[in-house]
Amino acid sequence: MFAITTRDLTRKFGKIYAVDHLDMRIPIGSLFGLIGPNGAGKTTTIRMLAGLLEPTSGEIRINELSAQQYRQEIQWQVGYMPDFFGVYDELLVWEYLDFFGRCFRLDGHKRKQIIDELLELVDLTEKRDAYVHTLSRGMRQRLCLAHALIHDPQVLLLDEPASGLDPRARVEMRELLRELRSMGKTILLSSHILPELAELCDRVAIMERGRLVVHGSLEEILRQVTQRRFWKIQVLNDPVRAADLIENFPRVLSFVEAQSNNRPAHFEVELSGGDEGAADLLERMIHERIRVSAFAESLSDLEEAFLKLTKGEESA
Amino acid sequence: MNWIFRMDKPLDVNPIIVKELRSRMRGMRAFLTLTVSLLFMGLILYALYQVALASSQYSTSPISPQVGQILFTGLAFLLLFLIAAITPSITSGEISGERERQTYEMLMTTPLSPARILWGKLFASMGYVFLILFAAVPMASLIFIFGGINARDMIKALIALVVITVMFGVIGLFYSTLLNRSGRATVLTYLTIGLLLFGPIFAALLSGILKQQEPERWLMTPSPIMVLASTFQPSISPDSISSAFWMLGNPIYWILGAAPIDQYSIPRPAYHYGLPLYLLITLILYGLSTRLVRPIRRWQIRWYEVLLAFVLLFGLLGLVGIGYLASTNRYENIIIASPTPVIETTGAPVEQTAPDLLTPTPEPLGLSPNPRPVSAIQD
Repeated sequence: MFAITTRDLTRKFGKIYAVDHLDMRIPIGSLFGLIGPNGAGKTTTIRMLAGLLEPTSGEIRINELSAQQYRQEIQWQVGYMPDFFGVYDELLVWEYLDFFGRCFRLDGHKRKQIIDELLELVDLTEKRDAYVHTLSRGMRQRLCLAHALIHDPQVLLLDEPASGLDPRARVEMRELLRELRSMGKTILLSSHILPELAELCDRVAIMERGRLVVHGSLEEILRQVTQRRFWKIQVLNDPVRAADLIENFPRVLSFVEAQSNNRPAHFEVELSGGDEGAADLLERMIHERIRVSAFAESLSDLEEAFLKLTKGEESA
Repeated sequence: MNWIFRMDKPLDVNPIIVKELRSRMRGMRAFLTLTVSLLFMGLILYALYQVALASSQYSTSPISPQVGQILFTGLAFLLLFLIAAITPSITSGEISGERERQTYEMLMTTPLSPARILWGKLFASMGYVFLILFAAVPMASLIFIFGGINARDMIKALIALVVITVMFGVIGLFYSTLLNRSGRATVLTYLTIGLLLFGPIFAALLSGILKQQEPERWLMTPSPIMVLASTFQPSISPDSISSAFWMLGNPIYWILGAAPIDQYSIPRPAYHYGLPLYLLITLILYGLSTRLVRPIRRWQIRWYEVLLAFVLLFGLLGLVGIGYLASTNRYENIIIASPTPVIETTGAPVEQTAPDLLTPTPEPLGLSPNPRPVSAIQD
């Protein structure tokens, strides 16, 4: 069973392919990240999945129901949070949710209960009687997410849920998404920033000019994208000896020392041999009594990989 | 899957109506609009009252009914123009506003059907306009102090106003679904309504000037101004109220004057043609709007929708036909219900014309059913 399946999904705007023969399968209960630069076709894909845009060709199945035939049934199973969204003026927060609750024909008592639960979930309980247009950006984003949850959909389509949020709101959004996944919902979210999704998603697909470039779990992608993995190492004592050791370690492909006078020494090391190689290096350093205070794969590397990947496609 | 049990419950309150009423009636705007328009109407009616008093001081005609008629005519047209001014500003932003505010897509992912969305929008905005319209009714009841109007005419005028309002609303809604920008939709709605109001009258004027004769009346029939005027013809004749509206010149005789009665028939009033036409325009534009409001598959029409369209269309045609047949003995080819056998209708003109006109017809013929022809004024 897959929550979302697309087969040869294509959408043309004029002569330009916004989405170009997209094949995607998202298992139920996963948190799926769709990444790509602006204009890669992420929003077009999500809009087609939400039933707001007709595909030029190809097939969409949601919960194994064909979107072509079961558009109305699918509306009950999909919650959609658009990229850019507005709010109605002169409407209170609970009335806003009440409106969408009525759209989904929830009965009065149940509706009230669900609204309270949702406000609790997105942490807007104390804003219940505030006007929607007075909310901050992060609160609106959470309110919009709450609206997408009002009919308890199995599949959530979130288009850039974290865009325009400050770091704190971003963390809150991430927490919220984790909570939703633990409720067993399938979540598809898009972003143009890879690290944002890196620690959140089970599976990631990178889109570029309407096509899926890579598709799979994060580790798989990294392995596919590049064999080169960078590790950040922080050493407290004896940076010279450490540098020497790293340089002579057989699996090290390259290393950069970023050292300032007072601080502990930092190295950025490129290793072959994956996790094994990294473990070997760490073991060796500890064996040599070098005090390592940090040893981690550098995340910015993900971004670089992503940049390289998408750029490579463009020049090709 | 339990979606089967979540089938549409048509008796549920339309969520759009609840939302629109909540947000529209909130704050000062609705209150101010209502107050200002009522004050405006009251002021103009007071001015008309003074004009009527002043102008009839030297005339011998009984003043009270004349004042009533002047006030009523003034109020009816005031309401017409007020509606023409207010309705587009409300309805022409309904759908395009959702698109501009980027709430449209969220609405489209709910199971709310496009027809229900439009219906809710129309109902809510019409409710608002009708609030203004019906708030003026107590003011209209003042007219009964003066007399000169019968309740039948008043109700007819009100029905015509309601139909015209709904048509104006649907025109705005149509442009709102057609265009993505509220500004353009509003401009086009005002243009269309202006054209509908004044276009036919200007066309008639032009044809009259070009042909150097009295313009043909059918040219003016599509204008809501004519249609509204025809609902209180001929009980209010231009002669009795021209003293207050003299500044409008000759056109007031064409507009307010009933079509001249010739010896064969009483012509139907303009609203017999106008109201069905407006209902037809309303239906067609509403139907088009329900297609245009969809994000995808706009022209994929299901069989039951075609059926519904046909039922509505033929229902309207049937109603109009029945109305036409039922009222035919009051208008064209009047045949007297007399013990003598009916004269062949194909034959020459009915001879006894004078008794014809004297037979009681449900339509009050008023003071002077034959308005002053233009030729008389040209003298």
